[in-house]
Amino acid sequence: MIARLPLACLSLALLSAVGRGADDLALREQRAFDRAIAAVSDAVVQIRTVGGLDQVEGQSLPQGPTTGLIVTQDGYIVSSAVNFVQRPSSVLVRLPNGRQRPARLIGRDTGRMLVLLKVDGEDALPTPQAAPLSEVRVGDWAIAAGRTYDAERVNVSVGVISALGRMHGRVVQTDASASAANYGGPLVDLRGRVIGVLTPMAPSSPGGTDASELAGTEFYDSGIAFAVPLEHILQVLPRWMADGDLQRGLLGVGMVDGNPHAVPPKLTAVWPRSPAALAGWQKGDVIIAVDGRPVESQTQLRRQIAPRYAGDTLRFTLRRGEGGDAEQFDTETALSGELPPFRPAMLGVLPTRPTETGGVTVREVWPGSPAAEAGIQRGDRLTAIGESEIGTLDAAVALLNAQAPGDQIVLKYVRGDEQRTASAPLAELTAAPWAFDEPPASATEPSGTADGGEDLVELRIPEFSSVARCVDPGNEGYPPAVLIWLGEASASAQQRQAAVWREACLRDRVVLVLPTPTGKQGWSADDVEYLTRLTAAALSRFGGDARRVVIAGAGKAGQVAYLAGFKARRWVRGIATIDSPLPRTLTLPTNSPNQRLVVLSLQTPDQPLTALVRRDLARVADAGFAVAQAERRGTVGPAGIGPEIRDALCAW
Amino acid sequence: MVRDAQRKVVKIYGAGGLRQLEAYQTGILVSPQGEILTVLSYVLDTDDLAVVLDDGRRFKAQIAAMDPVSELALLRITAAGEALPAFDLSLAAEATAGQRVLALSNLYNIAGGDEPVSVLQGVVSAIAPLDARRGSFATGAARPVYVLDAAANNPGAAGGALIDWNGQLLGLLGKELRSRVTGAWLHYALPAAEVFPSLQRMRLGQAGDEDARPAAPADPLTLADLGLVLVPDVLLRTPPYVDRVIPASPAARAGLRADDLVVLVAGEPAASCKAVVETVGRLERFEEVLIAVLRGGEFIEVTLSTNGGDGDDR
Repeated sequence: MIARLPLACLSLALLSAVGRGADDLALREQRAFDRAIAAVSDAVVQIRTVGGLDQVEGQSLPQGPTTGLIVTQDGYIVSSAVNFVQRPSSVLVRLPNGRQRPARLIGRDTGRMLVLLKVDGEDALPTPQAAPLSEVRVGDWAIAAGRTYDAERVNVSVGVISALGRMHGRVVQTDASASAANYGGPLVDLRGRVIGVLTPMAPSSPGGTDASELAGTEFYDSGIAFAVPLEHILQVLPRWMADGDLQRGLLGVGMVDGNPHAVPPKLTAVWPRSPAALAGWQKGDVIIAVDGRPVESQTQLRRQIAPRYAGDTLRFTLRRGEGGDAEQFDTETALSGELPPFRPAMLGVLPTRPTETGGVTVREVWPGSPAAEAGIQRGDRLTAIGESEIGTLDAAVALLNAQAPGDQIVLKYVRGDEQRTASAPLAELTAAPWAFDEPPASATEPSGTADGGEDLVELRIPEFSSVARCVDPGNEGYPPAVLIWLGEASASAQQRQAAVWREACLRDRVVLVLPTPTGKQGWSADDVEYLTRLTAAALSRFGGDARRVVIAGAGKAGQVAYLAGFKARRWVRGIATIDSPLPRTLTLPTNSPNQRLVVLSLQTPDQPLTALVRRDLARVADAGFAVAQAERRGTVGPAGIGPEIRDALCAW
Repeated sequence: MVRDAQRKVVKIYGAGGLRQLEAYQTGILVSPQGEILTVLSYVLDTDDLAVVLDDGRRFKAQIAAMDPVSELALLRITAAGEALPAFDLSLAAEATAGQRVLALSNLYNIAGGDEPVSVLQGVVSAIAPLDARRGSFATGAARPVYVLDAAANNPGAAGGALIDWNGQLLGLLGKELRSRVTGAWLHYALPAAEVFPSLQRMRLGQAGDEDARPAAPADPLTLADLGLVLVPDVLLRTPPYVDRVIPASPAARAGLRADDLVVLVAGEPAASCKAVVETVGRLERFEEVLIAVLRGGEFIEVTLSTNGGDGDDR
């Protein structure tokens, strides 16, 4: 009992000592923060910009000063790209001694959202010390500094390091608050060394193109902030000073769909003239290592490539073939900054259907095409393109996708019993090689009333109430093409359409899908989601040929056809429209070998919209899509279009 | 220590409760007799104003005084004969930038009934004038505030206490505002030293200090007086390039030329033609003005004066 008293006293003393110790700790931490900030504050500069845009992407931009970090004694300064998104005409920097100096924009690092500035006439500016990344640990204190509110003092935000190697290995994450108050400023450790430069970033979708410089600014109050390691910036600085702009490195490949964390990087397409093409990669190859580090999923591949710049050379290890035949090879490949839009190459043959193995038999040869020049005739069977044998139609298309228009290729084919060889330069898949004849007027009259009504198949999608009525050519024969015609809404109109088309559908094996718009006003952009689902459903329901899916419409419906066609690129291979300019809300994607799209536009001459339609088609062609135009003669209704035209669209 | 401070912070309930306007905020006891200091807001605009103490006791409160200039209000509750725990504003401490602080408030009305108010930690990010806008109105405070690195200014937090780690009062949490400088929601507190004079005036029943706002000059300076003609102001924010300089004017004598870009006027940045005219217009005609321009990538500062003396080129 007596012995317990001293114990109680001891613990009491300990407790109060701990209590005081806690206060001491808070005080010591406070002093440590102050010292860390003092160590680096001279290298933090205030930047003011003059001129430029008022709004970017619909957001008004804040007007205050922004922050930058001096990185060399002679005046190179790094800041965040978001501070320059308005493309200012003049930049003014306030140096540590209070002097103001104009600055030049040397270049941007689009892979890491930074900019490099230079002030002239200085040679002894204070530079910060970089914290080695190997010494930065998750949970360490991190202080974010900016110089926005007060030119004399830095403003401060305190947090911890949340994660390393975020955004595919490019940035450090912290929960210190980063906002326009300190973007471009340093993230500092407790020893006063700079861990990185703060900049906003957001996760981008795989295969996405350039991220917006404003992406990630919405995180400012969320406890998420990113900083690009200063160690990395100093490493790449000599190259940055010399090259001006640093761009993200690109390979130029398309990969299989699926969950990128699980699916291996197996190539489905190789952009012509891309680094991948120059290295000789082919469809079906699997990338298994980069610079000796194994990659098993597409995400792992991105992690290796995303931090790299255009011009960097990497050693890729690929596997070609399956099982015992598989060979492994290495290529040294330099990444490039830009990929030109994909323009499909055309040979000029129409293959027979159904598809077969052992080569591709020619059904028709377009006059004036490379195939015609090479002397290919109807009935010949193509067996090889260039070095590789063609097993199936798919293989042939893939091989052609890897070529560019203008490339000379060698074809091997069989006529009768002879093996022959021919060569020709590939042409660009462009304007109509197909002739378009208006059928005689009598054939276009709707054939009476409820004829064929009982043969219409109804197709419904769960979650949508509209019904699509389809003409099914039956199950015998090769897989049918699928044509989605955006016509009138009423059931009787659909039946009339079906009756008119029926003969053509049966003759050429086309599934005609006549969907109903969801709104009362006819077709609108709200229907795009429904149409996408419908396309996929129709393909699977009727066993359609994935290469021959077309979506079509006239006038306003044609605009919706454009929207839906580009949105549903995974399934749609052609868009056909009558007198429809592009919808104003459409951002035109660029063509890609995986998801080729062909456009056919029928125009009635001398309509007020014709000139606009032609201009829009020029834009589509610039994006690399093959565009065919034809004029309608006479006043025949939309039923006058024969489905053969649709089929022709889907040939190579 | 934090517990002591929490007892001095009260929850206020009043008008509101529709369309994003919360019907609650926070206040601090500033005298043992039951005076409560809080921000002036729509919440107080009711006959049925209630104050709930840290221990859960509920009082009906009266508005004793208001200060519309500094946007503060003094409430009074009657706690018969009892000495309530209170902050003494005359003993309040001053914060420094980078200092770790605690914000006590009833943000989001998490503390109901007899629960103590919420405590958030952070640091003072900067001490700077409030250049903020709420919606489209510019609030006039030109005095410096504590900009906070803490989620301190959420709905219901206004009127709460900012204290240091020893429990000393540093300031009063402000209303939700968006900074014009950064475009982001601002977390800030009014320093105790700024709040104290207002409290004194309210206690004495005096009106707010209207003279706090700087008076417009009696004979304002204009660009014409200086001999500067800027380019036509046609854009939302036209960059202030000099169109021409009137011969034999102060600007001409100082060596300014056409195509110079005005970047600083009297130390303040010139974002647009309008801003230059405004800044110059706050000076009296007889005053000197320091102008900085960019000319072909060179930074040049001159002092202009209408007194006939020559400006210096620096």
